[in-house]
Amino acid sequence: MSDSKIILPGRRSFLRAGTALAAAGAGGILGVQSQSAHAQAVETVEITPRLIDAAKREGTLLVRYSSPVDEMAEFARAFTARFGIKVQSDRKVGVLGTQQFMTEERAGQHVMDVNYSADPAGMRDLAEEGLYLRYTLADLDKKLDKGTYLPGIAYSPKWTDIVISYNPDHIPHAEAKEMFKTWNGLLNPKLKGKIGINEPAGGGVAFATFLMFYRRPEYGRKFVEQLAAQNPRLYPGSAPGREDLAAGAISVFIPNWDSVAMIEFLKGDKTAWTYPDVAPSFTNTYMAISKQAPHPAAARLFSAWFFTPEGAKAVETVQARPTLKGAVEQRSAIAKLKQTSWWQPYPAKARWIPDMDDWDKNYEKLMPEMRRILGWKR
Amino acid sequence: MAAPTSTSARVWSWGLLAVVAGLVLTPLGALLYGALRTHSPGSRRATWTLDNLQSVYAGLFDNGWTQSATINSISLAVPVMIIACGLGVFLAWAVTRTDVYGKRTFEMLFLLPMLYSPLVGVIGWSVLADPRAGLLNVWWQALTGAVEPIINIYSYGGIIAVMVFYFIPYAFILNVGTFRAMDPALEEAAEMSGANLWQRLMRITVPIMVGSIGAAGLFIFTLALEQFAIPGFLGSHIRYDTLAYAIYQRTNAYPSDLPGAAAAGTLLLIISAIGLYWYRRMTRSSERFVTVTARGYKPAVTRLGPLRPVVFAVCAAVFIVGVAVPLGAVLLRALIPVRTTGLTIAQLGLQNFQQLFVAEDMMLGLRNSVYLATGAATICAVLGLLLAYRMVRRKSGPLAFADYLIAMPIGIPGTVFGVGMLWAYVGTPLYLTVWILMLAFVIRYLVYGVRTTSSGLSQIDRSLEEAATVSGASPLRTFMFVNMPLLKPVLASTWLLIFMIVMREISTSVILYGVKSVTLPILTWSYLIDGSYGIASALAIVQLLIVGAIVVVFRWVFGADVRTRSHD
Repeated sequence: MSDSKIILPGRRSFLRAGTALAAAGAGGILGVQSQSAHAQAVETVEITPRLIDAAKREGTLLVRYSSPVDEMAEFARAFTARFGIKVQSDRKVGVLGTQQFMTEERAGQHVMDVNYSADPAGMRDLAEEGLYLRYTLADLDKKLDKGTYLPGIAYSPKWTDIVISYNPDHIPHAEAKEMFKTWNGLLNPKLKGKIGINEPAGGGVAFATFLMFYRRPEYGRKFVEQLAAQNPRLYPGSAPGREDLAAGAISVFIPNWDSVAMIEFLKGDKTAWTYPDVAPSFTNTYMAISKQAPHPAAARLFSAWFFTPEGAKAVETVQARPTLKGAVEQRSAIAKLKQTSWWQPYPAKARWIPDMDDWDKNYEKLMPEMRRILGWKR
Repeated sequence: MAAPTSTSARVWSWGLLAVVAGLVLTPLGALLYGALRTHSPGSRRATWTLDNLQSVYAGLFDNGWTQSATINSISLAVPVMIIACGLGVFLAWAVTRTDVYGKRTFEMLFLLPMLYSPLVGVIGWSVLADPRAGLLNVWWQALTGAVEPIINIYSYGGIIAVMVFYFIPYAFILNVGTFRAMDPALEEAAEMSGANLWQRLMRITVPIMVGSIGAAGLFIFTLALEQFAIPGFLGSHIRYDTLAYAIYQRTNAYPSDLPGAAAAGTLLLIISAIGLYWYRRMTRSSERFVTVTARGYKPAVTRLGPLRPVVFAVCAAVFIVGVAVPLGAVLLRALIPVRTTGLTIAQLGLQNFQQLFVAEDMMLGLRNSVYLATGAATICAVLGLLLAYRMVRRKSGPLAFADYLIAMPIGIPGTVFGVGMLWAYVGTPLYLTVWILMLAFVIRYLVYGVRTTSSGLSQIDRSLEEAATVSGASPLRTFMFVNMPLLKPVLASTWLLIFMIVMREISTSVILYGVKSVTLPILTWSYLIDGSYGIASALAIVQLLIVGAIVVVFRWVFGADVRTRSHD
């Protein structure tokens, strides 16, 4: 797709719009026939000089994403710096991007090239309908661990490692280190009313953590009930919780994840974090390619490049741990954190990887129950 | 006087109804269609179902997801409407009809909350009144040694207070124009007959203003129902769910349930329609209160006498508590690069402002926002004037129906309305351009143009138009030289209101914007959800200054009290 398709329409297209509007109710998504899903062969995407040339000729691509603005800005900057290809970043938070993509495709509007989204279930559904390219990365087994991708559909460039964040003005580092060796530290009576929780409906990070509580025998549903008895503050997302933690309105905030905590640390945030004995480590955001991508070569190049050493370095600029096997640790925050007294490296044993089938099947049943336990009336 | 029902009048009526129905029913029809599908429209797996509607409506009675959320929504909307409307009308009266000190300044200051997003206001209130870390509570505890906070923003009362201060400007601006256009003869007659201030207000001013006050009340009730940001943010701490927030979660959280959200949108629509029905009942006799007659009059002010400092104190208190203090907190947050437990002067800096101007989308967002706000305000004011004129002067069945239709889009949450627009227009060239945003804003805010102009028009005596007609003036000439000058203050208020609303609109834009149609509120929203509260606050301050400057220029060009100047 050229740029001209998303800027203000000219007079002619505006007049065309007038005609289209007359029957918009039927002419929009409502009257469009569903495409049938076609069984697709799985394409292997490999970065070759030919692919790079083709991508450069296309000159641009549109990435719809749900991750933080700064993260995508860094990704786009790095990709453009490397290949000279302009990245148009279109942010749609939560599941809106996937929904919008489906609506567009059904209406024959092929706008998006790459979707970088935290909606793996939605991606799987749309892949079933034939809207995403079926592809795999060359040498996949050598590059990625299982569980970091949706086979044939989408691949995640970074890990999301869950941590317990605390305010050292309220809980000294040494005490926090002891207290939060396990999640049971949150049940300490001293913390009653001083815990902030991103509620289970507040995104994938929150649900993954509560799912872990449910699935790990040492915690279970009872732990969530005990947590609720601590009268925590609930937040509709992680950002206001982090803000309140920094301000001292709460003493502990869960679940946070280390890359965002590191970014705040680099900005001067005084809050700290620990890795408890076990915590979700999962891939929250995935890259998928639209089957009808208007810039097919650029889309393929973008989606494959983040699984190269160069791309992994770009991932590390946002302080995230790349999924690429063997990626060299180069995060700028780590060097500074090593100079602190409280920071400890990420312990590999802390990983708990959620079963996405379990997630998909049980989300709708578990979510209301989790919220009810935490005190929501409905 | 009964309106003539000539053929041309009927054609006009049906023609206007067709335009309104085309605009309004297209997205709403798409929503209803979506509510009747198992999956989002277009999905290969979507089939027809009544389950979504059943879940929403049966849930009201069997402890479903809509029950407590609906009760909570109404429990917020009703007191917010009453308090905000009461205060807004009082303030409008004070600055237009009394000799209170500093009324011209107050008139500008009361509008400030309309210049930034409600979420930014929430940031300000959180900085001030968090029970543990709020500056007011920290200072109070330090001064008095008290253990308990003096104010807790995370409470039912706290949510109502924040929403009241957010909605006061609506009641204010919707009544300022009408107060200004009102002939004071009746009040003067009452005063000469010995009525005191209270009696004049209750027996003369309020009944005359019933249409305008009713319109403001209806708007605030409807907007309070669909407001998700304030109760969503503050209410989650105390597990206080509202219908609008529950709907928002269905559109935004994984897995999304857009059909369920669309079905719940119809519930809000019905509640709003009930409000509209009561408004129409309340104002059906508004022509009894015609106050702009053929008799010339000189605007007069009520001498407050010993009450002058009291009224000034109330105005000042509302401004300080509701506007200045939270805005000061937002400015403070904008000057803090990183939030910490304690605050010192040394922490303050301009880093957030610097980062803001580095962002490449800033100028694009500013240009789009000004363009959209100016365009939507102008179209809504002109189209609203046309529709209101026909509705007030040529009452007919089609136009009464059009009046209901116009009010419908504002009755559903902006996010849900945006989804309806998306479903309806995705196949057109408007999609992902600023034009779809413009269309959405016109459809959604046309009701402001119609309602405010209607209440202004209903105060103008028909005899003025009849005199012009008898003198040989054509209908167009009568309209341009009789009605337009009299409606100028109302039209100016309407334009300003819509301009300011569009300048901070998020909920519909967030669904419909594209790479090239990003707006300032979308940028603010993005910063907020990323946790960049300092940059979001800085952007809010910049937006406030820019929009404030535009409003000042507009008022300088058109005059805040055009009527007064024209008589001078």
